[in-house]
Amino acid sequence: MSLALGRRNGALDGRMKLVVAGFAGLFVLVAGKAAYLTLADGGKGAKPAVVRKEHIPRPDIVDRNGILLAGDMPFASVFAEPYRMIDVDEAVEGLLSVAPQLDAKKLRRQLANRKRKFVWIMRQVRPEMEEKILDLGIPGVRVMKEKRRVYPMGRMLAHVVGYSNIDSKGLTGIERFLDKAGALYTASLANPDGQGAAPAVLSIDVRVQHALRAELAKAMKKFKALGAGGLVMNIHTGEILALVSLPDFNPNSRDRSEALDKSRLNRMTSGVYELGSVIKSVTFAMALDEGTATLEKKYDARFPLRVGRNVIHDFHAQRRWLSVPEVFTHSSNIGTARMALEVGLKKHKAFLEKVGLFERLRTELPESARPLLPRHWSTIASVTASFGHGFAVQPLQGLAVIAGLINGGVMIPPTFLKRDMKTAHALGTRVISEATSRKMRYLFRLNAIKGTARRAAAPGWRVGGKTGTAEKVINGKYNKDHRLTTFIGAFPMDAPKYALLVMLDDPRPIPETHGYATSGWNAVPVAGLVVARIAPLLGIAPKLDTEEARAELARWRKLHGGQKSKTGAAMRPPQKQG
Amino acid sequence: MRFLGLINTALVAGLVVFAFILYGHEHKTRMAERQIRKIEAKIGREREAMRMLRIEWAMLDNPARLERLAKRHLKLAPVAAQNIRPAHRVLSALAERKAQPLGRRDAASLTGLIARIQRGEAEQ
Repeated sequence: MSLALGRRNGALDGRMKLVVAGFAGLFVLVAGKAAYLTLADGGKGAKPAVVRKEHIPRPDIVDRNGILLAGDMPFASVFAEPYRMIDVDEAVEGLLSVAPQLDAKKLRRQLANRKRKFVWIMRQVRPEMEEKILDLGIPGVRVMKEKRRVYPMGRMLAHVVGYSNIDSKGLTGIERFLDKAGALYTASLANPDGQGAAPAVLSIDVRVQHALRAELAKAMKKFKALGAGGLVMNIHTGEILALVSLPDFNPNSRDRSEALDKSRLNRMTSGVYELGSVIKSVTFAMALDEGTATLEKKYDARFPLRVGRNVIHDFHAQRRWLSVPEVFTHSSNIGTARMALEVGLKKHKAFLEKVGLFERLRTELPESARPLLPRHWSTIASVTASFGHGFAVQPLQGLAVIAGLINGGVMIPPTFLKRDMKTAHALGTRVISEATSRKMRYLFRLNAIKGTARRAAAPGWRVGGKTGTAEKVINGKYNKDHRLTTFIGAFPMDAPKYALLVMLDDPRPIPETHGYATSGWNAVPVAGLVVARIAPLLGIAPKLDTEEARAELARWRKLHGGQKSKTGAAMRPPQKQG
Repeated sequence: MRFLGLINTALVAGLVVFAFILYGHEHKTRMAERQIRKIEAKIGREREAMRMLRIEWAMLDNPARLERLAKRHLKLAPVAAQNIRPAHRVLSALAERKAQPLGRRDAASLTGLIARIQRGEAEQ
């Protein structure tokens, strides 16, 4: 029995093995198929309906209050591949049902040509339209996604923000900074998960920028100037709130010839100019800080000053002994030159180097020009440099230095990125004592009350500043009839917070200025208008109950008209008359 | 022997059943995945729409445009120093005025005033 069983078992053994092997094979097959279906995507390698044309993502650029200044705008374009089409009539019908504006005949002709590989159907469609077309699910109709950099503020911030090219490479301004010098900064903005990036926050305030630009554009027209420029800076943090250079260009235009036009370069950083008498402030700060001059001291300005073969004249000649404040308010070249001579050649040069006027100022903006300096540092070079002749710097550099003299004596490198007080403090270097800085504030304010800057007169806002008029160099010679007028000032002068610069390139004399075209007649009143517009935006409290303010109000009305004293409308003449 | 055959039959049947279940799940997953892709595409489109709107918003926010519109439609002027007073001055000026409860007539005239301001008539 047991034997028989064993034999039967034995006989079955072979078949059993076969069956087991067969089942094992089946198992492997099924398991394999299941694994394939679950692990590997069962897709048949179909072409996706949406093609993304990726380029390097650029962070958005926003102003200090979060207003978008530059951003990537997505757009989709619909195209067809006729060789992949199944039913042309159905495709045309479908497309027309969502986009009736399409030309049916043309579309049918194009799609019917089976040899064609590529046909544009619609360029730059809105997301809703894109969705509708994809929902149709027509084989052979696909969508291409692209991005374009747009600048919603247009011309207004063209010089600061700059622009990038089609391949998303920054070419000028902050856009270039994000790719080059600021690549680390850009990387720090990126989100760790690779999804988008935090925006680059600039120090710019679009409201201030617009006010400055609008006033400068008006002034450029009024004085028939070739160009104009302006800056507003926070003197405690070094943040640039506004930078205007006119004429400017449209960064949204595909055609870059306007942007590359030489007259449209950024005058504030990529051009160097003789700032003229504005630089006298630097000489004053130096002499007062050295102790060679005091506010009570008097200087002989009776006769022109002879230095070697050169004679120094005064523009507003007083022909008498002038006290230090008088030298400042009359902008006396002779007095200033004497102050510089007292300090001495070496110390003068050392001071100019200390405040940074002798080297190229670098900010985030890649466009920066090297200063033009006297070849030999001689007595005459020192004398002319004391009143701002014979050397040229970026206007931004001039403003940064003046800001350092007024803010308590600490030079803070200017920046176009948002910065807090603490960072600024760590970056600052002391150049003059606080006591000297207080004296400079006094001189600046005095100059706006009864000196060359009295036409600033923004009532209640306590402007102070220094004017500068430089003769332009034409064909290698100073030309008396063509000038570059500058005003650098700050407000409110009792506790200054903001410094500003206004510059006009070759303003013409007009009847209203009685044939004058020096800074006090054009750049200064424009600066006054700018301050009156931006001070309320910047949260500064006006003071109108002082004698000075009343005098300023009277001067303001005389300058800008308006009898209906109470309202702001009366402060400025309406647009049509202006 | 019959026992073995039984087990095998059960195994095969089980295998077939499980294969079907697995296939069913697979199918469901594939549907879900398709839905995810659809939703993701939708999210992407929404994001893009948001970007577009943000850019449009910034363009509408352009101060030059706002100034143009304000000049055309409002009888307002930029704030001048004379329009700004410290709070304590405003409060003391208010205290000087006689405090009067707002009667029905006053309320009506106030509504009238607001309407007039909205029409841009009240200049003072």
